[in-house]
Amino acid sequence: MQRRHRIAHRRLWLALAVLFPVLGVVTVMTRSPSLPGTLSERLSEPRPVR
Amino acid sequence: MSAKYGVVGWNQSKIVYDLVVVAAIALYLTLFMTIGVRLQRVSTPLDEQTLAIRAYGSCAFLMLSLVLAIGPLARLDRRFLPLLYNRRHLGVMTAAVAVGHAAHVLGWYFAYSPLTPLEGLLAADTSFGQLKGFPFIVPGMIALVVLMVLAATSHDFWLAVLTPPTWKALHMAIYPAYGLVVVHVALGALQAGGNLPLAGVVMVSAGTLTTLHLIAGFKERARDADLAVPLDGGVWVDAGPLSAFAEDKAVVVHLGHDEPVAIFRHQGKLSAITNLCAHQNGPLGEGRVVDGCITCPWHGFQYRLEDGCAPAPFTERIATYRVKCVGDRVYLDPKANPPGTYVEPFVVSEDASS
Repeated sequence: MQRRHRIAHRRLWLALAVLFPVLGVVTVMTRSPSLPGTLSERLSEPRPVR
Repeated sequence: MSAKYGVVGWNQSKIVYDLVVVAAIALYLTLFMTIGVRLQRVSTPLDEQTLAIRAYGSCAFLMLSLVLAIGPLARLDRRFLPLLYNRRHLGVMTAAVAVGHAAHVLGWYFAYSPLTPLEGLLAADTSFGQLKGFPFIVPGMIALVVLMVLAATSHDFWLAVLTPPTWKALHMAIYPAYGLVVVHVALGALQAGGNLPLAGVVMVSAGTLTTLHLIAGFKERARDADLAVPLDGGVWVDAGPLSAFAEDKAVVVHLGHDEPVAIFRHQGKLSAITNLCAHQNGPLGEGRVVDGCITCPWHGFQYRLEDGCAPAPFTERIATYRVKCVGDRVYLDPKANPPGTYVEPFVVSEDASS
């Protein structure tokens, strides 16, 4: 690997080392909450009457 | 310049390697889609197509992680070098599995769209201004295109046509592509929530690969710095003891400069030129000295050692370097001279040789 490739390689992975934790925080903060209960439990819940 | 296309040079090792990888992929996909059905939660039953999408997607992600781990492992410990063998085949198969993932997505989500699958994919979500619900398909698509381009140019034919430095620069696109894949998974499957095993796999993969690449990268930087020696008001590179320089043989210095440099000892004099032939970047340091000219072992291109010029009637020129001997050590000026620059060969004294 040539020196310029080694430098580019180090810079790319440094950038990814910054990106991944930020992405992790963003994902945790924006993730959808899991729906409570099992499917059968949710289906057996009384439906609101219009 | 010309390069002829030749089919892959198969041998028994390559065939066995590829068969083992294909069998491992088939086993993973089968197990994922059979055992996966039983492991899924009752509250969120998955259909067969969605299972296939996840099976192909996770398989491609794991394969990509493996491909990217081989390089730093081999640079950190030579015992991992055998893994480099056929890494390109593994990369091509990773691209194929990723295409399988995309094909299942298009077949499931856009099968009844009035638009073409590609139009449907691009038009389905354009909310780029928000992080929650970000169109995660786009980074995945870009990464897939990169993987396909790299797979298509992985053959030695393209290595010869593009020349090794350009080919290497192109194939380093795999690193940002990996970053895009992680964005694709994080803002897609992980943001949707509830997939703890996948979250664990992504965190272990991203953490391990980042650590490995940074350790390997900074170890090389430290090694580069170790070779730099202040000499005569400049920084020279220690190329080793004079005893390592045999008559009409080269020592190739890889570190401390943009290109590998070949230092030759010919008729008791030291000369340094770039190790890369002007024709197709052949390794000049492995060539023979014929009539005072180094002869490229690949295609026979010749260059004079003292000025890097091809003998008449040829016109190719390569970079030269200053070299000197102090005591029993040989030093190289890492700054390249313009191609064709004459440099007086350094005469090795008999005392230093002994």
